[in-house]
Amino acid sequence: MLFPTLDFGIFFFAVFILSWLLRDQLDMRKAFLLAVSYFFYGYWDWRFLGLLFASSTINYTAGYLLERTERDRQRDRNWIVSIAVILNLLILGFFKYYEFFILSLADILTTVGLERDLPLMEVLLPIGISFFTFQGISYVIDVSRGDVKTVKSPLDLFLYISFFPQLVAGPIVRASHFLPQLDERPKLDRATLVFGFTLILLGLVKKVIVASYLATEIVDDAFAVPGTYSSLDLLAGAHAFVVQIYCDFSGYSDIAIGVAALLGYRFKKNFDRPLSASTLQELWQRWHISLTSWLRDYVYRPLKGKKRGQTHMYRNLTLTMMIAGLWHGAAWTFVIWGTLQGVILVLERIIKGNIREANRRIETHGGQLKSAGIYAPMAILGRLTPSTPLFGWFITLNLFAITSVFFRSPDMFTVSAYYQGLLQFTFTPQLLTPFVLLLLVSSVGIQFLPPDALTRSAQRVRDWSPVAIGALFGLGLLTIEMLGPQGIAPFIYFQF
Amino acid sequence: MSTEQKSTKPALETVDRVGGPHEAAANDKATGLSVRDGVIIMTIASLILLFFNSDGLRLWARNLPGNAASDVLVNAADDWHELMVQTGFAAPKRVVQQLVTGTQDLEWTEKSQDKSF
Repeated sequence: MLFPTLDFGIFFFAVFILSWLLRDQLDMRKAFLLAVSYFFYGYWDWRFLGLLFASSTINYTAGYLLERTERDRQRDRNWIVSIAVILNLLILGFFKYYEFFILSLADILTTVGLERDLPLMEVLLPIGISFFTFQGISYVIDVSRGDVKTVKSPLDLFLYISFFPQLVAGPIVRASHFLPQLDERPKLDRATLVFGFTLILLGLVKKVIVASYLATEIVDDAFAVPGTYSSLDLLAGAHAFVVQIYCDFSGYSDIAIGVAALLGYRFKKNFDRPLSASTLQELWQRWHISLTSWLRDYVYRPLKGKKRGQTHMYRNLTLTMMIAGLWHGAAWTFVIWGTLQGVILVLERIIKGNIREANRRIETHGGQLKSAGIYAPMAILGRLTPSTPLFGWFITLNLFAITSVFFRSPDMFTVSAYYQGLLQFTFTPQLLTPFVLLLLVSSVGIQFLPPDALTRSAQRVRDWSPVAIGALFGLGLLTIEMLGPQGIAPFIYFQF
Repeated sequence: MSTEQKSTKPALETVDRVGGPHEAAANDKATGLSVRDGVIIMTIASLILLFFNSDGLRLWARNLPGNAASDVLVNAADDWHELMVQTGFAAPKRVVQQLVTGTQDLEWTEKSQDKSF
């Protein structure tokens, strides 16, 4: 069931009351939350409940075996971790990438003249599989590293993997952060209560209003027939897609975090105003934080990050971002998008490093440009381009939007048509209406508010009576319902 | 990827205090009150939606799988919506939606309204 629906409202109301009634019986409460989480997942498609159970069983078993394998038997421990990770990735690979690999293999064979009828079957993608698979892998690896203790009860691990607020679209919660909370007696104070409802409202505004309208007013049309629209519309369409996916995904995360908070569990922030970043590196530190930190800890660092010199770092960075692209979808457009992100991150570092080196040489040798040697062009570049955050923000947002064409396009033909359209330099707006522009400007503008703006807003009503807060919350929901378009579009990230 | 990624504090900074029985009792009482308040908040919000969003309720009922129970819900939702229309509670939503539609239809100039190619 989708968050912004009456079905979920009724479901959550009941879960809220019953879970808190069970507050004094920790195990019963966990069992209840596990049961409702399975109900929540089964509501989407009951056929995949077995998969969720199997994934949890694999990871629980791996943790159990690791606990019973002494640390000096490192080879055995490595085998356990490897098998668990491979099993997790096989499940993910089969459901998510089977068709992609088969079709890609068929294309390659056809190209080299070895056309074959390969077994192609339609494999349904279980919702949330990328998220709960990554959570399971992180548990096993963290146990092997000693970063987290093995769970005492399978109930804890099963609940960690299937907890309904984050089950289908994240955040990817770490075992080290969540599991200790399951052993604590849950608490709820007024500040958390109000903040939870505030987050839910904010998430609904982003998803139901901003993301939905941007999709229907500009993004879907621009990417359906890019050749029909002007360059201005296409440029706006690319930006609108970035804002759409940000609002869609961060909106879901906000609701998930708010819902978890109302049940007494704390999740970490998943987005931190990424569209106000002044470098791509900063954007990726603030965008889908739970995924980027997962990739950092379980892909980039095992590749030794930057420990083997600059070239290795650049390679590892590009590879990690390529995997990020592949995680998002089984298509070459996603792989190219991820690789581009990696390449731009590398170029960013190179340019910044070279400008720093050039300036250091100039300062050291009396301020002469020629003392910068081969770094002189970088010194000139550094002087010609403003080093203000605003300029950096402008470049970063545009680069991110332009490269997002690969992410959004269904195929390479659309990518090609889109970029061709952008390079026509035509400026008649059809899709870029005042309404769309208002949505874009306000959505990006809000990113520049202070980071604690939401907390302070919630604090202002914290001491109101519950009736008054309820009226405010109800009016907020009503306003969202009135302003939003008819019907509920699914979250984009459900396809991942 | 930077290894100095900003540490993300929990989105909510509630204070975990380990104290004696008095602290525990105080926390228990605070939690109980907060849960009660949460129920009140959601109930009031639901009532507001029930009165002012009867159209949404009707739509929800009509999207339910067809069976005897949902038929009852559909009829009840239709009757309720009719009542809300008659009493004027449904009017604000219509007005706001018309405003939104009007805003969506705004164009830059008259010329750009010509969509022929």
